[in-house]
Amino acid sequence: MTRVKVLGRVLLVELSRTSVVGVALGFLAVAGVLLTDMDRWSGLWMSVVLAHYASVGALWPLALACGAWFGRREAAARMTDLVAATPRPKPARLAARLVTIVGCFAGGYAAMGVGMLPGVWSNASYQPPGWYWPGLVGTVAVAGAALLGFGVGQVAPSRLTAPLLGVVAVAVTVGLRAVGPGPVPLLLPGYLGETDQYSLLDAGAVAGQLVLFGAVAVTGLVMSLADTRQVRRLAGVPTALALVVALVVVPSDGQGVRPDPQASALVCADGTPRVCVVRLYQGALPELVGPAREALRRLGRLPDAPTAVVQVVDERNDTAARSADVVPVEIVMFGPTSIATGGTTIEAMLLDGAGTTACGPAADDLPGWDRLDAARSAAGLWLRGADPTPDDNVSPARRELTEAALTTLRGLPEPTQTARVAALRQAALECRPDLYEILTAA
Amino acid sequence: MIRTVSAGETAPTTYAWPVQARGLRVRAGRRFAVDGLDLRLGFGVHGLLGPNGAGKTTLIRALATVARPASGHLELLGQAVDSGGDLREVRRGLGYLPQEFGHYRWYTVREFVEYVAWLREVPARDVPDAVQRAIDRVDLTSRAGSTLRSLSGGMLRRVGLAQAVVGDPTLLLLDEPTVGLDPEQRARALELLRDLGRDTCVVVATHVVDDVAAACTDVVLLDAGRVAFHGPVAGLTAAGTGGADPEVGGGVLERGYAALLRRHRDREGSK
Repeated sequence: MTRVKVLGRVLLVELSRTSVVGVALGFLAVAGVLLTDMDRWSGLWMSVVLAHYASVGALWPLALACGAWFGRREAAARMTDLVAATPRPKPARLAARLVTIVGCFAGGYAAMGVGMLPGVWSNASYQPPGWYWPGLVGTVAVAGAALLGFGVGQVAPSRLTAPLLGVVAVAVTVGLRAVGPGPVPLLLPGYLGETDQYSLLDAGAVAGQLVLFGAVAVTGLVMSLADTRQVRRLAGVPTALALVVALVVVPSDGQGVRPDPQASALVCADGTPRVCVVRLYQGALPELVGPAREALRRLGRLPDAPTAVVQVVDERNDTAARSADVVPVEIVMFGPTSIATGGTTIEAMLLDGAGTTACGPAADDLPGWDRLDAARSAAGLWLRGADPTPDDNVSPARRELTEAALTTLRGLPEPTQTARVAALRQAALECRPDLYEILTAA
Repeated sequence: MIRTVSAGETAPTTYAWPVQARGLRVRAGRRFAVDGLDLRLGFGVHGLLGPNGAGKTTLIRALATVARPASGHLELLGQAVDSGGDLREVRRGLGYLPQEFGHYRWYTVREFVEYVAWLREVPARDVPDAVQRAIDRVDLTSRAGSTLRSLSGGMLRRVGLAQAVVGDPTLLLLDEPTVGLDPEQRARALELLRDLGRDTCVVVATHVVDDVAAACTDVVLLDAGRVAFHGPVAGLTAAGTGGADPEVGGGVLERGYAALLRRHRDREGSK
């Protein structure tokens, strides 16, 4: 018991009398900044865990440099001779320091991930398999970087070692990313290729990275604790072997994730007409179904009216986005059960462009965009029987165009009005640029 | 102060000499700073004198098991240490104040001495008492809670002494222990050395001949890595009084020091 007490005190002194806690807090502050994204909804497992993992890309050079700084501590304090004459073996002597450093850096990184979990747990409707691997691999990567830095700091206890290692790490990151496409960039901590919310982890990529970063940690540990030069020379062997294994195991196309069909599978509300979202957004379905059916009812005035509202996963290659039978809906969440509508209602959002999605990028500087947008708004307002409302996001010029189009439209005979909105819908599905003219032609 | 004495402390020693060296050679960089040294040291305070570059610090480092001998035989506390092997047991009996006393600036005096006691594997139950006694012995009781960065050079040297004596080592190696101490502190430190010498083998490397006379039972004079003279302090005094060289100034001890060195060099030169 007394021994534990003395060891505990050594650990406590290590924590309180060194800058390790302060440096680790700075490290976590950087991690916090990297992870702060107001636009990211915490209900998406993969988005959250992959953002947490991606931060390792910037954190590992820091962990490496900080590890090196603490690794040279004995030499910097000119304590080498004094401790060399003491009996406590090097592993026991450095254990407290290594535990402190790895605990502060890797533990802190892992704790940040754990801190993000309650939000995901309470909001997510779909938990992808293996969601915990990125956090685990990231923790091992940070621990490995800190340990490797510590080992290098011990072997080369120069004041320049830490900044040089940091610079080298950044150079390696940039260099390996430039090598792609191919498996090489996947050897970098925090990198899994092009990822999104529908990603599923590739087992080979995870295994390869885990083996490599684990081996780096072993190399750092051996460098830190080796008493003889012979043992130190062998320290690089685990990393060299792991590098070969990783290159064989990680996907050769450089993609560490695959599309998850389960995540993007459609889930539909009970009853008709059909209202469907992808599984990832199942939580939004109750909020969507009422306004969606109301929108479909209003669109029912048009000939060949659509019969379903379906969430679009990828506007560029999703057939639902351009199907005459379907009203596509793009869902962005900003709260546990709140669909972002950009200041309007869900129903209004769905009826914009008579139930179609705008083609091309929504850029205000696109020539003719004001007219296109005004025509789409006017069609939506006509379907809802509503008038334009003051909207901060809309320029006065565009509002005037909308009002003019709506006035012109409503001045026409009823069947013509319906025919023109139907024609606009068809033109929008075909991505034609003359929507305003269709609605307002004399 | 009353303290419990462990069985280990009262156990009879199984060696005749705490330090025994034969033909010892130790490198310092490319050259042999200790070059064929023969030496036997018993309990008591041994003053290690010699000109700059004589090999004092290298010898102390070898005795501290920090510098590994290149050849020859070195036995410390009854265990041969020249061929490597497990030095843990020997190191448990060592106290060491290096010439350049490195330390962690943000530790307090107590924390630092405690840390060294932990490194020295002082039994956990004895650590608090051993630390307090070591701090008391160097008169730093009132500054035990001060960080090392706030101490003066003399005080730091005393912290160096405290960490060296913590846990009552059998072999105490002190490289320039009185550097930076004011006269009063120096007198107290020498008194401490005399006190320690009763049951410890204390090796003190120093440039100050007066310190040797004040605290040491015998003197080892080194020159070019070899023993030029080894004998009681009286031998130094005798060499300084009999046939003193009028060209050498200073007191009797300095003259004795110079005379013994010259004699040794003459002997070596005539070989």
